[in-house]
Amino acid sequence: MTGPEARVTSQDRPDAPPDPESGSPLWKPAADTGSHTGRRGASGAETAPDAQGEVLVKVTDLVKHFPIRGGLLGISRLGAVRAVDGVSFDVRRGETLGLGGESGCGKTTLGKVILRLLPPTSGDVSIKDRPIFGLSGSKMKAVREDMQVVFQDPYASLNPRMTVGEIVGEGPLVHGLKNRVKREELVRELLGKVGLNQSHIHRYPHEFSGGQRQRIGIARALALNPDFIVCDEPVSALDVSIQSQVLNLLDDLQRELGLTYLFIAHNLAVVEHISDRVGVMYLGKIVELADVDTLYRDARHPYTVALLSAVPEPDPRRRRKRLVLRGDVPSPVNPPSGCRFHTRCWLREQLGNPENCVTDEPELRTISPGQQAACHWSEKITPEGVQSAAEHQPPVALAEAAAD
Amino acid sequence: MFSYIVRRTLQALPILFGVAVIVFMIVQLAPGSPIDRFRTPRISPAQLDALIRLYGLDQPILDQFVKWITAFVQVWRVDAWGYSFLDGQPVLNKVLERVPATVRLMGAALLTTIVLAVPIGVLAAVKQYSWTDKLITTLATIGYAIPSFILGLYLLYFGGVVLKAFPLFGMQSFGKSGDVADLIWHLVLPVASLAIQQIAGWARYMRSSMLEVLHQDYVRTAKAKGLPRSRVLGKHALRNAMIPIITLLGLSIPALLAGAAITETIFSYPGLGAMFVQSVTVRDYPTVLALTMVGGVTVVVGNLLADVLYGVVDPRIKY
Repeated sequence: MTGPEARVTSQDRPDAPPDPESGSPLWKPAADTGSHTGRRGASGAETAPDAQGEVLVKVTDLVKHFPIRGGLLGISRLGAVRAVDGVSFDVRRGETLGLGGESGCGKTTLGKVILRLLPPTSGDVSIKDRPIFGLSGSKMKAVREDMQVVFQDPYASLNPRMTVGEIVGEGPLVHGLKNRVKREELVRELLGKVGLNQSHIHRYPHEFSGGQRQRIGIARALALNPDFIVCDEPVSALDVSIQSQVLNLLDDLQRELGLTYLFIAHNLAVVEHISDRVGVMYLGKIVELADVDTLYRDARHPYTVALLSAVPEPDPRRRRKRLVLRGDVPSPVNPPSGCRFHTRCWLREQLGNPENCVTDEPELRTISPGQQAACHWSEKITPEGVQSAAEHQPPVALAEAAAD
Repeated sequence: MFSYIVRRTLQALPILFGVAVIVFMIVQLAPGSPIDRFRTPRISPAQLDALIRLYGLDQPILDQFVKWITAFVQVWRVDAWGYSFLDGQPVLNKVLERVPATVRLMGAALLTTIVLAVPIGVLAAVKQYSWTDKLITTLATIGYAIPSFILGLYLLYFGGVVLKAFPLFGMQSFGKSGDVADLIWHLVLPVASLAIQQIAGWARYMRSSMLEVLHQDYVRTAKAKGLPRSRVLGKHALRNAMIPIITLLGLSIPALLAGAAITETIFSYPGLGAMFVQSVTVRDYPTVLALTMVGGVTVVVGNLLADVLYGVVDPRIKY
């Protein structure tokens, strides 16, 4: 499966300047960026990173519940939206961990909690072995230099009343780069790095196109010389033609600066293109986490299988049966018992509705080296089974699939 | 910017002409006639006829309008706005005399509103759904709901009669002309009565505007950059949240003038508002016409001011 993005090479970016000195030419001595674990090239030809790579960010049993309040005075707790409900994973230095899943599965909330932009309900996140929850203001400020964010909407994520120079330079300013001339120099360098005209430093965000604005957002994230960047759907709001440019920019910057990404996206073609490893979320939980090639070739969770079958096929002559999930995602306020996916699971149906799907919550367990899935019956997934599940769908779902 | 202001001022002229037409029509439609005040049992029909001819009331309405409007715009002439029926003084002079008092009252009320409502609204937004927020929102709703004449009377009763802390009427104590402290002392109750409703409305707008901005991604990224909270709230959130509030500023100026009519009457404050109420009561036609036109100009100026301020604070708007 190759999305349109996968075919674009970096030559498609006309305005990418050659980088004078890669590494960390910021005002502070660069932290040791560590060795690159085997990063795939844009072509995806290389192998996945070494499973023993250094852990940069460690997420442990992270939970984020949003209380639902009601009653006469609005103080009684009626329940909670369980947006993120016990998520653990590691992000290794130099890799891109993709995070996919339907809308509302908790991907974005997870990203925000990891950055401590939202307070967690419970659980831990540490960066460079340093737990960040509970850090005081000044210590947290120091940690913020290590982790930055690029948001989805390039229109909402830039302050309309600040110039590009102010937006990009503000981070360094509050982190100690008081010298105005040096700061402007830094901003110009960053603008060059993300492929923007350096003379645009005094312009306002509204004078730029969507793709350019996203580049400004990337420059802002880079300004603090972070190790770790959470990219929250960084290309979803962009034109398809621009998406590939921005993806390639992120790819180039990663290689150049040794960055580590947590890349949140619902578009699985994009996730495949950029990621080394991929996690799939469903209703606040990670259901499968695997090296990208393994996941796309041999998914071991029925939800992942269904998601992958929904990725559009670029070749119109190749007709393929799609595995269409029936019904809506259940409410995260009151998720199903046992396996959260059992209400929509084609595999469970195929296996004659085994009871443990409803009673026992499956743990994320190792299926093969570099692949974890949270399904009691992962081993029962076979190509023939997928095929027959797609063919034996009820009429409505079939009609939908045929209409595409 | 300058050419924009000139252009907008020129555009305001037809609007003001429309206002003049409507104002003139309303006065025509109102029951009664300017000569009613001369109708006593002792006046003869011939004398009434003479009066009608004197005021030009026998002429077609269109002629009357043209005559009034051509005189009205010649503001360099002292009799441009006619003479008050009440005391025979030129209306223009009477209005100009009272402008400073009303401007002082409105200005003080507006300043109080901005100084209090903006922090209150920001506080409510930052502490959304907390007890502070609920208290502010509830008080704001009450403040907005109380009619200003009730509020003014209560303020007068408690502040002036019960506590005896503030004067009961007027702008200045006798023999204290030019004493600033005395002026402010007299302003406290009228300003409170004018401003409370404004503060309530502004605070609620400020709250929602701030909330909207606080949920923007650029506020999140500001936080992610490690900015101190004061800078996130001040530089990123508040500055953007103030943009829609400017609309409110443009609307508030005429609203304050209208509110001044009631407030000034209650507190016997010698401004344009009290003058307007009085002129309506005694059917002082020239004064009613003149003050209604002043009100129309205030609306136009308030809107122009808001539009110009947009251009100053919002880089996306260029004139």
